[in-house]
Amino acid sequence: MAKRTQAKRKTAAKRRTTRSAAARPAAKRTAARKAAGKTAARRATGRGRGTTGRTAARKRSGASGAKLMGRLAVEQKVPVDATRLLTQDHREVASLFDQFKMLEDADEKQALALKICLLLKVHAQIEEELLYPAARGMLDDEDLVDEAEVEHGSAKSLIAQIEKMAPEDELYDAKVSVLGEYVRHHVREEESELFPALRESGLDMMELGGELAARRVELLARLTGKA
Amino acid sequence: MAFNPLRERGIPLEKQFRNWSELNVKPYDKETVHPYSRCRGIVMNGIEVEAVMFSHTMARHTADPKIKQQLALVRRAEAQQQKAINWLIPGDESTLEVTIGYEQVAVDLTAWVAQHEPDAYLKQVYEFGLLEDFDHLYRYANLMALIESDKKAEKIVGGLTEIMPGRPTIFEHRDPRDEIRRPMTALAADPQSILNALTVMAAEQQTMNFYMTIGNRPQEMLARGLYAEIAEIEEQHVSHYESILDPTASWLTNLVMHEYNECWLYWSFMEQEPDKRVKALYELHLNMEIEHLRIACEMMRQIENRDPEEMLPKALEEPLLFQENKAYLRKVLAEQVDLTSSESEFMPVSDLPADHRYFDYQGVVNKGGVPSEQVIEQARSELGEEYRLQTEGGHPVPGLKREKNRDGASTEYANRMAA
Repeated sequence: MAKRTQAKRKTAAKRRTTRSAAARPAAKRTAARKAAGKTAARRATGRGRGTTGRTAARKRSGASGAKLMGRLAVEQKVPVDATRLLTQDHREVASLFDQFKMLEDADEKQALALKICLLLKVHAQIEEELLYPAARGMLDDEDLVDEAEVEHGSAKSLIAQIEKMAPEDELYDAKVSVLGEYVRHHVREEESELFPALRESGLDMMELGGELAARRVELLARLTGKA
Repeated sequence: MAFNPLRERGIPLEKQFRNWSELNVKPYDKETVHPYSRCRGIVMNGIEVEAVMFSHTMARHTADPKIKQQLALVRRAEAQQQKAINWLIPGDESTLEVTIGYEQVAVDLTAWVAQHEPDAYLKQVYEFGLLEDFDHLYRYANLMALIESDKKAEKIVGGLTEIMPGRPTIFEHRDPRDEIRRPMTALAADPQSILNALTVMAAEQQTMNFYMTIGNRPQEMLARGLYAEIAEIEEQHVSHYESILDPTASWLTNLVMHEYNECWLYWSFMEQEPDKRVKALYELHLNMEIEHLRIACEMMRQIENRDPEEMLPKALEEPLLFQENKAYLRKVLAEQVDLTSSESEFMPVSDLPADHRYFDYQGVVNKGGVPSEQVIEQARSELGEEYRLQTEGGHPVPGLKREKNRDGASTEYANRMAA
């Protein structure tokens, strides 16, 4: 166990060095975003989460319908804490896995499995794009983030396989079931270690929650074609 | 006299819940209750209903489960407050008696607000609505003279509010698009303007809810018709008043302002209430609201990273008072009875072009008989003359005097509709 941790640390250290150029701007960006967020909130005086530096940049580069929709949908809502938003996502997908076990009809199984895959892809993408870079900027020990990213990798390859399969195929149910196990493990680690560490780090969870929620609406709109 | 609810300590939320017997308060005695005491209870019931419904709507726009739980906790306390206040009304007070109370509220509450509104446009908004509710009081008082002749409207209002025609209800029915007013901006608005708007909006909304619910309780078709007609105007008034609020204010800004408004009103009414038992209830609720406000402010700090004190006044200086407004009403009647509205502007009805949508809407809803006119015609034929309570002399508008004193005078509305 000790050996494994050591090995992991080493890899993590190596990755940090190779990526340090990218990691630093990420940290800076987080700080800048926090500052921008505060000014925007003050300026907005009651207009919900202000336009952050990041979303403003996106907007300048030409907001697509989906992006605009995501931003508007979230600005009309009460701001949400980032970890509580992601925890809700976890609960939602866990209940879908439970439902899957009870299904027998092949078409219904496939529809539900595809829905699970869609939600997990969106969830993984918003974590990778927004949560993990922010976490790397704020946490001294990045092992937790490294582990989470590796876990996403294995889940994604299973998702890709399931999406190509038909429910009659051999191992279809088994693959969905294993995906459920992956997710359960990932959820436990994030909720018991990464999220508490982030909450203590001083990261602005409401600001990040708004960005996660907006990006999620945007991705869902794109992937389902309902922009 | 200044009061700053942010500097007071309230009752901790976990100690606010009451048991069923505490909520099932002893009602007032309808024979001895002060008319304005009845009015204050009606206002606070409307305010608490709005608090509960606002919180439910906010919860529907909240993804965060912890914030939802916090809203649910405070909302349950508000729901209990609504019960305690509304259960002050005794079972032997008839629906129509309560209705007269609702219209006295609409008159004297709106009159106070209009006279204490810093913004000229908003003052016009209140005076416009005031004359319409004033007319409803007259129509319902005539209904009472017809179907509950053992009761007297002047006793319910205690002679504190006159009962005579305002802007005739028949002419109040306008195209819905012409009820949307100019919104104030939270940044520029005086805090008193926000409190005024939240208060009158909640009161009108409760009046709408009340008429739309109990309007089908009478057996007489005329009474059912009158309730239906006036309930529609109350819906129109909710559109009118809600449209002056800043539509860009965030959910949390709205939540803080709702709680602040409740503090202001309980503080105001606690000071004036002569019934010791009711006064104690208002004091208790004020202490609860101080805590609700503190929680809402804390939520704003945590969630929006904003300091609520930046948008709230340093202190509340003036309490909202229920008092006679007879002279003021007569003045507004004399000057504004012939006003109508188009989009967000107010103008004399004689300025409307002949093809204005106002006339189209009038043609649709008033075709085939208008209950608010029928009730007066029936009172004249059955009672000799219609019911009025004019304590300060003849009607200030010649065309709205009793028929025998009119000398052929008419109103611009009547002329215009005849044309």
